Amino acid sequence: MPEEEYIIPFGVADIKRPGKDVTLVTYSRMVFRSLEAAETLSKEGIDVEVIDLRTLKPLDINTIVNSVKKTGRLVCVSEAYENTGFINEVMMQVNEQAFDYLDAPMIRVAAANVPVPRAETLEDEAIPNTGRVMAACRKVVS
Amino acid sequence: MPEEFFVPKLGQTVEEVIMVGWLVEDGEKVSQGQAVMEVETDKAVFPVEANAKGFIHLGPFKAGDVIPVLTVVAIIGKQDDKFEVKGAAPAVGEADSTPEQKATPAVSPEAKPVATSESDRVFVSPRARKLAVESSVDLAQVTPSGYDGVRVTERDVRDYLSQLPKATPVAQRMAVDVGVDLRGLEGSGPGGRIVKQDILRAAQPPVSAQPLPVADVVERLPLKGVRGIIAERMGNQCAYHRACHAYDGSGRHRVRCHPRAHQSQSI
Repeated sequence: MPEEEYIIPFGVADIKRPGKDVTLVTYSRMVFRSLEAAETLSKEGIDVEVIDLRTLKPLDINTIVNSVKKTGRLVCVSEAYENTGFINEVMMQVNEQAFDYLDAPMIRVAAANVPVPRAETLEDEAIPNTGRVMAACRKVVS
Repeated sequence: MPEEFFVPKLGQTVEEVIMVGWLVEDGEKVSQGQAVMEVETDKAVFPVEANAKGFIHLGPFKAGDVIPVLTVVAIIGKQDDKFEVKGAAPAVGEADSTPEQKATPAVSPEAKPVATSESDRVFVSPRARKLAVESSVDLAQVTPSGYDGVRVTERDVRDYLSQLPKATPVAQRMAVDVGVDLRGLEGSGPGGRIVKQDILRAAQPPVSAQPLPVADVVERLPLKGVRGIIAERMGNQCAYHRACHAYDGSGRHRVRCHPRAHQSQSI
């Protein structure tokens, strides 16, 4: 752990990677997988904008909405359960504020609605992996 | 249990045949392998053999009827059996089909309109719809590409707009209002731009030069086999039939007219 300041501005999302094709909203550990996915997808010609929410409350919805207005496509990635995750709230707010700017249905990539399996292969499937994130991005631009 | 006697699929591309005639009488005793009817495909006339032995009871089909292949046209069974078709009834393409054929419902009539309206529905992303409204684009004209060709996306609308000939905003709005396709128009404005007057001109019903003279149709000859196909393909591709011969709209009949009425009897 490098010794430096770890203070972040409160309620301000961070655009980790600018892009023009897809808005990818995520937070916490999934930021790294999303960035990995974005990097691979850039080779396929899909330019993904990765937004790290950093704080959920207050939620920086303006950054997300502005990005969606630019790209027209939204993928949300979360490590939490699909049916109860906070990411659903993000998508709802986008629906309320930027519906007319969406060019494809929003897609979420979240943990499967099962207790996290112990077997490594199953665990990898249950928790969003890079492959699932990439698949979601390809789907929204298809 | 009577055996169903149907028109076999006489070739890879044969979808329907023209009935030439029955070779047996209704109620006659037939043996397996005996030719009982003759049908004409696009290429030749074929006899169709009975697929069972017994008494044949013919369906309401007569010479000249267009029958889709695999249609049950008769049954072969006991002497007192009656011809009736279970399940799907034959859809006979001929206009002069007998009342019995019309009475047999091919498909439940309610099912079809729903299906067509469902498939006609244009799915449009909100973003594409917004752009379409702003730029007065008729979304039905746009080819969808999103989600494997299901949904119109913003890109499709932009592509469509870039293909359109240049038109003034007023002309664009008017074109949508009166339902004129800009692509078929030639602009009279500066730089070939389509202006209001062009739309107005296009919106007017085409001036018919003179009403078609009434001609006496001497004889209607069904175009069978290869000739039918040639007529159909030609009709699809060009207006050759206007200049050369007279056909009715279905492409299945050649209409022989008096020479003076030759040109006007094309449709």
